[in-house]
This record gives sequence, C-alpha cells and structure tokens, in this order.
Amino acid sequence: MKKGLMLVFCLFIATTIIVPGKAVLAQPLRIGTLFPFSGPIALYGNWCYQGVLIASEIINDRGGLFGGKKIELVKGDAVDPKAAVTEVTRLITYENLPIIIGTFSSPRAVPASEVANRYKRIYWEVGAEAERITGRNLDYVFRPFNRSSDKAKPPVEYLINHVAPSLKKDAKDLRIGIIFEQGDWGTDTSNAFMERAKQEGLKIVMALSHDTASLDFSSDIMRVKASKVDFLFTPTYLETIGVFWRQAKELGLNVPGGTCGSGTVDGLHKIIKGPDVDYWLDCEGPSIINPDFLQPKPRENLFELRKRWKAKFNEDVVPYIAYLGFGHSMTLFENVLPRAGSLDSEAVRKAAMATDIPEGGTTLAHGVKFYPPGHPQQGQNERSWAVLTQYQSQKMATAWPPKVATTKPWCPVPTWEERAKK
Amino acid sequence: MTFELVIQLLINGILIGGVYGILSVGLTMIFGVLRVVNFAHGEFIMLAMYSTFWLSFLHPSDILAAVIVAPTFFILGFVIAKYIINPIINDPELSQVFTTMGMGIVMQNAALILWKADPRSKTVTGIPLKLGFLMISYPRLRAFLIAAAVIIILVLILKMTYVGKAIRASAQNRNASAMLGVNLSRIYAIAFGLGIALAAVAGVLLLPIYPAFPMIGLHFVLICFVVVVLGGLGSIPGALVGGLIIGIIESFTGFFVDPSLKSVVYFIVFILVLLFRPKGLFGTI
Repeated sequence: MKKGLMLVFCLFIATTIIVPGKAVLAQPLRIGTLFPFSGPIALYGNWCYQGVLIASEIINDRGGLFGGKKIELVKGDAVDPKAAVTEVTRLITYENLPIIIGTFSSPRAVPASEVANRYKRIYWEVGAEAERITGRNLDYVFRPFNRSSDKAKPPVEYLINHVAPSLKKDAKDLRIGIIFEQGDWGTDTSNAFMERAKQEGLKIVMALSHDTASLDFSSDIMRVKASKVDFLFTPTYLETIGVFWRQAKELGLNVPGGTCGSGTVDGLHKIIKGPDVDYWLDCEGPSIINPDFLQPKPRENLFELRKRWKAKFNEDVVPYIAYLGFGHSMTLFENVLPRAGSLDSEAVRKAAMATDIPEGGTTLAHGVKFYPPGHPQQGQNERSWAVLTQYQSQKMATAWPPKVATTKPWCPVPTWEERAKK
Repeated sequence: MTFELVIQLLINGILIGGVYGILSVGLTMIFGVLRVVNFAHGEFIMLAMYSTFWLSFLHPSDILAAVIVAPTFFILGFVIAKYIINPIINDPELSQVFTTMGMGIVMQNAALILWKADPRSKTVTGIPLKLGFLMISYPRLRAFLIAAAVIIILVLILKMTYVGKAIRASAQNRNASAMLGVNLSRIYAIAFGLGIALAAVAGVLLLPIYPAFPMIGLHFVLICFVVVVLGGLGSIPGALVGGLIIGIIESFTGFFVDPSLKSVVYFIVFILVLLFRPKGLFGTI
C-alpha cells in the first residue's frame, strides 16, 4: 500500500512538475521578424531575413539561449508601410512577441518602430537607414546599423584623398553630381552627403531626384552629361541602377572619378553582366572586408555564415543585405540577450543600453554602443561606419578606407570606348 | 540649348515612347473589344520576360524567343478568356476589376515563390550606336522598330482577315455582330489571346532593356493606362501615338525642368486632353 502510494506520488511529481518543467524549457524563444517578404522590395526583405535566420540557426546549434531554449522566428510581411503597421501590431498583440527584428526599408521601419515603442516592445532595426528611425527619442528602438549620414563620410574622404589626386585636380575643383531616389532613404542619404561635401568645400553641381518606378533615365543622364561631373553619387535601388547603368553606356555617359551607389548594388553583376559592371562603386556597411580586422569570435561567425549560405543557396557570395541581417541580429542574440537574461523588454532594453563592443567585435567590423536616452539619436549605434566597395573584374571588393580594404580602388574610370577596346 | 541636344532629346523621347507604345497596345486591344480592363497586363509582360530569360539559355536570339513565346501566350490568353474572362463579361465592372487584379496578384506571387525576387537579366553586349553626334540605344531602337512592325501587321490582320473584321465589328457593336453570326465568345477569346500575345512580344523586346523580377509589372502598368487613355481606348495606332507623346514629354521635361517632375507634366497633358477630348486622341469609345 505504502509502496503503491509512493509510486503514485512520484508519478504525480513527474507529470506535474518535471514534465511541464521540461516542456517550459523546450518552449522556444519566439522573436518577431518584420520584413517585406512580398511586394516591390521583396528581394531585399528575403535576403535580410535569411541572414537573421542563419544567425538564429547558429545560436540554436550552439545550444540556444537561457539554458538551451531555441530561437524561433515569427514572420510578419511588411509589403508596404501600412502592412508594416498592421503586421507589427499583430506580432505584438496576437503573437505576443517581445522583440521585433526588421525591417530593412525606411518607409516601413519608421511607422512600425513607433508602434512597437508604444507597446514597449524592443524594435531592433538591422537595415533601414533613415535618420528619423532613431531621431525620435524612442526608448525601445535600437539600430546597430549605420544611418544615412554615416554613408556621407567614405565617399567624401575617397573624393579628397583618392579621386582628386587620380584626376590631377584640386578636390575643391571636382564637379560632383547626385541622383537619388525620392523616398526617405534616398533623400536622407543624399542630404547627408551634400552636407558633408559642403563642409569639406567640395562642389555639388547638380542634384536630381527620381521615382524608383521610372522606366527611363535618358533625361537624367543628359543632365549629368551637360553638367560634366567628375563623380556621381546615386543612392537608389538595384533594379533602377541596372536600367541607369545600361542607359549610361548607351548614351555615352563617362564619369572619370566614378559612379557610386549606396548599399543596394549587391547583385548588380546579375543585371549588368560581363565587364560593363566593373568600376561601379557602392557605399555600404562593411561586409566584404579583410577578416584579419575582426576579433576571433566574429571572424568565426563570418566564416560560418559563408559556409551555411553556400550550403543553402549554392552561392559563393553572401549578399550584403543578408550580412546586415546576420551581423546585427548576432549582436542581439550573442551579446545583448545573454546579458538581459530573458526576453523581457525592460531587461533587453537595459542590456542594449549597456552594450559596449569595440571595433572589430562584430561580423560587420564596427563596434556597437548605443547613444543614451536624451541624445538626439537615442538608440543609434555611435560606432557604426561604412565603406566603399567596387566591382573589379566582375567581383565586388572593399576599396576604401584602406584599413579594411581588400583591394586598391580603380580610378580614373576609362571611357566606354576605351573599355570596349580592352 | 543646342540643336544637337534637342535632337538627342527628341530621339530619346521617341525611343522610350516606342517602348510605352508596345507595352500598351495589348491593353488597348483587350479593352477595345471586350470592354474589360486587364489589370494583370503588367504581370503577363513579366511572365513573358521570364520566359525569354529562360529561353535565352537554349538560344540567345530574341526573335526566336518571340516566335515561341507569342503563340504560347496567345494560347494562354485564349484559355484564360474562355474560362475566366468570358464568364464575367456581362458582370458589373467591379467584378471584372477584381478578377483581373486577382489574376495579377496570383501571377506576381507565383513568380516570387518560383523564382524568388532576384532580378534576371540577359547579357547585352556591344557599344552604343553613334550616328554623328547622336547616341542611340540599340535595344530601344530595335524594340521600337519591331514594335512598329508588329503593330502594322496587327492592323493589316484586323483590316484584311475575317477574324480581324469580326473583332472590329464586335468592338463597334457586339449585339449587331452577334446578330450577323459572329461567335462573340470565340472572338473575345481570340482578341484576349491577341492582347496577351502582344504583351508577350513586349516582354521579349524589353528583357534586353529591363531586368525581369516579379514586381516589374507594377512599374509598367501605370504608364500603360495613361498611354491607352491618352491615345484612345481601343485604338491601336492611338497606343503608339500616345506612347510617343508621353515619351517625348518625359524626355524634354526631364532635361529642362526636373526628372522627378516628368510624370507631373505628362499627367497635366493627359488631363487637358481628357477635358477637351474625353475619348482620347484616336478613341471611338
């Protein structure tokens, strides 16, 4: 009888404490991911998400977080800004998610982050650059990624220290043009570039905005030709650049100092095939960098990312946008969340504010330290910076600044006729 | 402002206008006969671009691609018209709008699932055409000339064949045509098929110019509607002329005013034309 009672008691303990305890332990850590999975910029949203997914898979394979819990990503499709708002609301109120990682696109990120902040949930922006994402003193919004104004420094430094000497001109005599997409991101990026250029005494001779849905750039190109620019800065999207670059060749636009996009030309070689893609510059966060610059742990993560990307997609080159998703969510998973101890928003917020990663301490080479509450850019990573990459022999390499460069920049750029003769 | 600059802008405008014309002619054909606005028009062009891309691995010639893609899309259009469009031909316009929009969304997202969002592009080699001071885009010139030839052939078919006459009769007065023995259901399917085949030809001609990706149809559709309404709903020459007008306006506005204001100016012209001539320049509807 006593033995029977003991057995029942043990079974009772097992079923009510140990089994549910294991079940609780097995409950995944559900984190929201808000990206444009469909719609006009689905390409970037999917790339970014894949980077975040691989980061979560690496963490899970290494034992998960908080004593073995696995990260589970819950998707929200931010097909446009309105959908971004409804989806982030769904992820927070219906799915009850404490953290949202997103969104790549500034028009989506701005309203979505405001909603998340209102609900006191962490919004972790990995790819959108508009200044006002972190310029609104929102306590729960963090951006480890660079903002538009960070992209002003590399091309301006490049102009002064490399283009001017290559063209045998004084930097202040260089004629600089800008063509930018007319949304938040393009406008912010071009404004930041213009401001920085003017501070250094450089001459902007033309600045044109354009609609990303435009099918023709002939008049833009004619204006650039008429302005006789030495360097052209073009923050706009990949598909647009493909059309622009083809028309630039067709209409004989020659820019001796180079043409520089801003972070979305990954994959330009898939649109502009062959040597025509060479010499194109891009200003973006560090991705193709000298791995020796990284500390051991992020270097290991970088190689792991490349290995897994190759296994999943059979591609040797990881798209830059995927690097962003990977690197910035690794900072969250590997550095912030362990210090927070849980997914509680307040704990994560405090852990984020205490983040202090030195240069070389993330896969994207820069460090991480967020501006504190009260700062005009509260929540922005003060240690983010950008680089210039360049297509050389149809492959992208980091050309500037020299400290992380994997190649020397090709400048001056020969004319299309000269390139055809080679 | 120099003479050379004006001529270059004019040539640029004509060439992009030709692109707009070929994009729009299928849409106006379908509306002219069926009185159905095909909101999936851009997506058919997108599918044709993808088809041309995949065919280019077998052979790079886009003439060959057009010979394969156009009849295939005609059959596709015929079948869609028979089983989806014809049943709703007499339904309220809102039903027709939702049907064609729904088709477009299905095609877009099917393309996204099957081929992902990565842009696909054909290799375009060679240096630009240079005639004296003029720089001419060879792919656009080619698209313009082939588009013009296709439109001439289409007009001849419509004028000189029984099917063409039946299509024109149905567009003018469907009830009278039916009373005269025209099989309206079959003619609608043929007209829709022809419209989709024209969209397919546009897709083949445009792949050397634009990359194919699932959302590219959205880039085309707004300009198509402007061109079609400006040129006159149902008028095939109107689509080409409307395209040329928009292209030239864009070219000059973009240079002398601002590229971001191109669409403002042509929309103003569009509104003015509609105010004074609501049927469009060549329209009869």
